[in-house]
Amino acid sequence: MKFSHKAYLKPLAHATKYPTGPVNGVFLAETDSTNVVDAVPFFHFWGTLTPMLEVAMTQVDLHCKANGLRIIGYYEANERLEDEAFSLVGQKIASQIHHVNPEAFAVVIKNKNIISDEVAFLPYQLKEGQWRVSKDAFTDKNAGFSLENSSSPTVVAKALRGGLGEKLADFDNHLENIKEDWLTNKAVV
Amino acid sequence: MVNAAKVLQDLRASAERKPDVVVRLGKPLIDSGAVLKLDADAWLVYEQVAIAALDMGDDALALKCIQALETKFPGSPRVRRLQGMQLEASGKLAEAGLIYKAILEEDETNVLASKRQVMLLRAMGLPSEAISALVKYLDINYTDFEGWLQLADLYLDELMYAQAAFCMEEVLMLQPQNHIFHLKYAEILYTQDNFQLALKQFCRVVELCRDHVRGLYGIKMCASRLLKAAPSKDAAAATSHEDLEAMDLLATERLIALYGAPGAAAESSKVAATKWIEIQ
Repeated sequence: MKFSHKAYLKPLAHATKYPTGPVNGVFLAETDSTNVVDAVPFFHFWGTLTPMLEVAMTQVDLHCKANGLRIIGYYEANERLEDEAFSLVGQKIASQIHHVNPEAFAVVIKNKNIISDEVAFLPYQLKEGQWRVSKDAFTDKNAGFSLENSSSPTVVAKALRGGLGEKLADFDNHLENIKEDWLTNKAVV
Repeated sequence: MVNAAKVLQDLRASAERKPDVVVRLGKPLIDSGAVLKLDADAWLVYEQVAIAALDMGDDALALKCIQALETKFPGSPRVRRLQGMQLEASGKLAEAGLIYKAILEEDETNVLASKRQVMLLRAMGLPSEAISALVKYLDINYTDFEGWLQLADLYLDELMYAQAAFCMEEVLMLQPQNHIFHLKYAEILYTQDNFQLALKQFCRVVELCRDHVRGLYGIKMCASRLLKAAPSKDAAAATSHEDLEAMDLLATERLIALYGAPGAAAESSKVAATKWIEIQ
């Protein structure tokens, strides 16, 4: 999995916009590769309820089909700063994605690393029926997870310090005001 | 100075949280000692500025206010609650918890200490302790809809949907006109696969708030689930096939009109929403 700058930026902008609550969303890849080219932010409240999640998933799927993409992963950030555990609801959603796409992974955002030069993604993979942390991700020891642009963390941290997170729209925002561009978020990239 | 005092008073009355404004206006009053000219209001300003200073991370200002209050009202539970909040702000969660516990042992009806204790337990990652503290609080303060709402959230964190739904029923009895509460109840019911009742609540949302997009999506989700399902055995309570189709059609028409208006939505959103409506 190689994350583009956009795919690294959007989940962190999402977590920065809503620092006091849990957030989640999905990663998109090209149909024929494991290059993670984009991310779509879903929710910042009521993350454990299903009706709008079903709507969001289907609409993202339609968006992918129209643009030669596919859903390849799930991300979430926890409410508490130091909490890096993968929530039960998140595991359920990620497992559903995995059911359709066996390459699917999940990322829990390391809240402490968002505004720093360190990579703020903690990747999980489904192994023997369990979601497990992928060790040494984003280092030379783990070829499974890397960044397309190694300066992404520094660049993103700077942009977020400058308030870029405020411009991001998730599906919750879109449902309140359909002008909010949750699928492509052109305002932040 | 009179103006600053007036603005602070208005903010106290409206219970709005604007810590930046409160600190900006309140700090000069306190530093210059002018606050004492406000007589009885002075102590309310000290309390207000203390809480705002904690929100803004101005520990020195918070401490100054709390010390002034402590000298005036030694041992008062209201001041001790502020001391607890100050400990929380500096990361001493366990010590803060002991203060709230002591206040509640003397007076279990103390609203402020109860609420702080619940927030603290939640922040410490002790959800079941937070739930039992809040249940105890609501036994006494059962008309506090915000408390019920918070309890619903705690249950949702634990995926205890039936309990969360019960809390939302209490909220709706106290606040029947707020569409957001109907929406939350509707989404909980849907998550429990209770599409029939969820549909009624989503309809209530759209009744209270015209063209509510989330409500319209909800109606379509419920209607399509119910139309695909086998006819309910409880035929009397169920919405008829014709009525479901009519509701679905109405929601579809409104969504198409909303997304279709020029400049209403980004092209990508519009394309996805339109296709979604087609395949439902």
